[in-house]
Amino acid sequence: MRHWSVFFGLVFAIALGTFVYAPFDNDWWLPNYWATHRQYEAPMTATAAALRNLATTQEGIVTEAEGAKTTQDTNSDRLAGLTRREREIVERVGPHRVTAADLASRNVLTGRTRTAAKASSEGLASAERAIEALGKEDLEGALPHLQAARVSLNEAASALELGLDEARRPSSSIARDVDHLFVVIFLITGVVFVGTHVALIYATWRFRARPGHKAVHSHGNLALEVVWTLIPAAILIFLGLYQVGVWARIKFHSALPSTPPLAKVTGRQFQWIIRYAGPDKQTGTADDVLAVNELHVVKDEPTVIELESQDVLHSFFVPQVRIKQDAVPGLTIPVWFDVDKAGQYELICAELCGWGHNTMLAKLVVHETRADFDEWLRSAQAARDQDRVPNQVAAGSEGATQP
Amino acid sequence: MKSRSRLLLVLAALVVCGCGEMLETHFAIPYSRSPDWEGLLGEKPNLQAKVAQEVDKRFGSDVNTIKVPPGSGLRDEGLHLAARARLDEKADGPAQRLVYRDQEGRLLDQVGGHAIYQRNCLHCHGATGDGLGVTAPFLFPRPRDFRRGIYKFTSTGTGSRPTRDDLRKTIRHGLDQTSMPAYAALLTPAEIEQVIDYVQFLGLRGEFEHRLIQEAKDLADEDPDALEADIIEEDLQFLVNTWKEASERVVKPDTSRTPSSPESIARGRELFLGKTKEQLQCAACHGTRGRGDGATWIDLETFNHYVLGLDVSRERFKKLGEIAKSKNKKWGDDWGDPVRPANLSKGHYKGGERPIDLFWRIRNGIGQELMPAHSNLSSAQVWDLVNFVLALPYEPNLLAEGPAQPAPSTVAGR
Repeated sequence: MRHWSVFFGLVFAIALGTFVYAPFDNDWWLPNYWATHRQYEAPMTATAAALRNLATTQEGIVTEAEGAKTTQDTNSDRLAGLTRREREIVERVGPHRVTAADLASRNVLTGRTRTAAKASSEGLASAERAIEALGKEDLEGALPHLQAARVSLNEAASALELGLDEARRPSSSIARDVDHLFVVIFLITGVVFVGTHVALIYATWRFRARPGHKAVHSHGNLALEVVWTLIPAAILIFLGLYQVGVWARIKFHSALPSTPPLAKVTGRQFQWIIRYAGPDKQTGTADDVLAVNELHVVKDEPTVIELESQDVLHSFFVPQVRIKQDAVPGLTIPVWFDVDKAGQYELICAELCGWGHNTMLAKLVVHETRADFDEWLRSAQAARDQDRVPNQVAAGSEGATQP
Repeated sequence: MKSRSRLLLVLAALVVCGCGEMLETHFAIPYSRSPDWEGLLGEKPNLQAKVAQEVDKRFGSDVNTIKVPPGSGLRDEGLHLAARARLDEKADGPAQRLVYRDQEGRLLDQVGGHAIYQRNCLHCHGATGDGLGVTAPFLFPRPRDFRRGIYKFTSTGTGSRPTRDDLRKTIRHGLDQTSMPAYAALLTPAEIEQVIDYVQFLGLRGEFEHRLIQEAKDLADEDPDALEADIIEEDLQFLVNTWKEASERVVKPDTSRTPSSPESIARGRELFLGKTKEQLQCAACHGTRGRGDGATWIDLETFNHYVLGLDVSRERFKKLGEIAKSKNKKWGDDWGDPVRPANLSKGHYKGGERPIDLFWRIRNGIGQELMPAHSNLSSAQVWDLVNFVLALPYEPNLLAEGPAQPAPSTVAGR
C-alpha cells in the first residue's frame, strides 16, 4: 500500500473519536448508579421537572396574592381566581407525590426520594389549608400557607434534582478514588496515544516513497531511544507511587474498619451464600441468618465481609462500588467497602468459575438507615425460623405478579 | 475455496438468524421419546408410535403445538407454557402473542415457561425433563428426572407430588450443596411462575408417557389399539388428580415447634441414636457422629472413585452398584443415581434450613426409598429431632465418642 499515512490516519481518527466520546457515555465508560436503576431515571427526571414547574407556578400565585394584599384589592373574583389556580396546583402535585413515594418504597436514592415525598405532601397540605382560608375570604390567613406550599414544592424538586445529580456520580468512597486513578491513567495514555500517532502519521507521510528520493539506512538515535525509554519508565514509576495510597486504603488489612464483620459471603458454584452475623455480631454461630444471593448493607457505613469459597476461584465484584476481590478456596479474606447511595446494585462473579458462571448474579441492597437494615434482618430471621406451614396467601405473595 | 464459501454460508446464516432476543426460541425442540426409555418398547415399533401419538395428542409435540389436556389443573389451562397460544381453538392463522403486566405496571411479552426452561434448565434437566441434559453427566448429585413423579424436597407426604410452593422455593433459593442454582435474582417472579407451570407440565407429561409405556410393555405389537382409549384416559385422570391433590396433602405439624432447649436437644439425640423404643436407624446412614458416613453405605473412597472420577459414562454407576451389592451396602437413590447421606455436622441442608423444612424432611422422608418417612413419630418427637439436628453443627461434642456432653445454652438459643 502506498499511502500508509492515510490508513494510520483513519485508524487514529476512529480511536480518537472513541476517546473523545467515552467520557460522555456514563454506562460505557464508568458505570454509575443509573447502571442498575436505569428504569427509574426517566420517572425521576420527569417528576423533578414537573415539581420545579409547579413551584414556579406557585411562585406566581404567591406574588399575585402579595400584590392583592398590598393593594387591598380583595374582591371575591380575585380570590376565586387564586383559589382556582391553587386547586390546579393541588391536582397536579398529587400524582408526583405518589411517584416520589413509590420511588422511595423501591429504595431508589431513598434519602432524596423520601424527602421529596414528604415535602410534596407538606406542600399539598399547605395548599389545601390556603384554599380553605381563601374560601373564608381570608387573604391574610392564606398567604403564609401559600408561601409554605411554594417552599415545600421547591424543596421536593430540589431533593429530586440533587438525587439525579448524585446518581450520575460514583457510589462509594472507593469508587471516587478508583475513578480518579482511572481518569489520571486515561489522560496519560490518551496523551501518549495521540502523541505517538501524530508522530507516526507525520513520519509515514513525510518519508513516503517519492521519485528521486533514495531510502537511507539509519542505525538509530541514542538520544531519542534514551528519551522514549525514560519517559515510559517515569510514567510507570509515577503511577506506581501515585496509586499505592488508594490500594493500601482498599486492600491492606491495616486499613480495615474496626467494625465487626457484617456477614460471611461464600461463593460456590453457582451462587453467593451469605451468612449474616445474628444478634451476637459473630458469624459461624447458631444465630446466623442465611440468605442466598442477597447481600444487604447500610448506607454510609463501612461494611466488612468475610469472603470465602467452597469450591473454585470466584470473584466478588460490585461494579458500581468498584470493589473486586477474588474468593480463594481455603482462605478467609476480609473485604471492606462503603456505599453512599441507597438502592439495589448487582453483585456478580468476575472469575470464570464453571458452566453456570453467568448465573452467579446476586443483588446488593443498600438500606438508607441502620433501622431499615435491622428491620430487614428481623424479617429474614423470622423467615429462617419459620416452623409452621407457610400460610398460602403469604407464600403466594412471594411470586406476586400473576401474568 | 470450498471451505471459504462454507464459512461465508455459516456467517450469512448467523446474520439472517440474528443473535438478538435471546429468550425467544428460534427452533422448537420436539419432545422426542427419551433415550433411556427407548429400549423398553424397542422391539415394538407400532406400540412405540402409538404411545408417542397418544402423548402428542394431549400435550403437543413441540413448542408450537404445546398444550395440556382440558381439566389438567395447570394454572390457566397451560396458558403460560409458551410465548404464543391459540386462545380460540377454531380460529385459523398464527397463534396470538401473550402479554402480561409486571409489578411496575409495564406491559411485557410473555416469554413462556418453555423458553425460560430452555435457557436456564434444559442443559441439566433435559428437553423432556428426563434429567439427561448435556451437563448432567458432570454433576453430583444428578439433576432431577421429572418423569418419575418422585420429588425429594416436598412438603407433602410420601408418594405425593410437590405443591407450587415447594417448586417455587426450590427454584427461587436453589438447593444448597447441589448444582441447582438460586433463581430469585435471575428471573422475575412472573417468570418463575411460568417455569413452575412448565415443570408441572413436564412432570405430568413424562409420567403419562411412562405409564403408557408400562401398559404397552406386555401387549402384542401387531395390535397397537389394544392400548385402549379408556385405559389411557384413566391413567391420565389418575395422574392429573395426584397433581391436583398435592396442595391438600401438605403435612402440617400437630404441635408448634418445641423451643430449642438442652432437654429437647438431648431427647432428639436419644431419638437419633435409636435409644428410644422407636429404635430409629438415623445413625446407620448419617453415622454415629452425624457426618454422613453410616455403616450401611458404601465407603467414601470407593464412592468417590466411581462418582467423581474422570469417567462420566453411566457405566461407572453400574460398577459402583455391583460393588455395593457385593458388599451389601447402599449407594444410590430411587433414580439409580449415586448419592450420599447428608453430613449433619456442616449446617447445610439441601431441602432448606428452616425448622419446618427439617420437620418435613424427617416426617415425610426424601424420595420414596432414600430416607424413610417417619410418620410413626409424634410431632413433638420430630421437633426434638429438628432441634438436635440444628444444634449439631455448632456443638459437635453432642455426638462425641464417650459420655455425651451437655449442650451449652448458647446452642439452645436458636
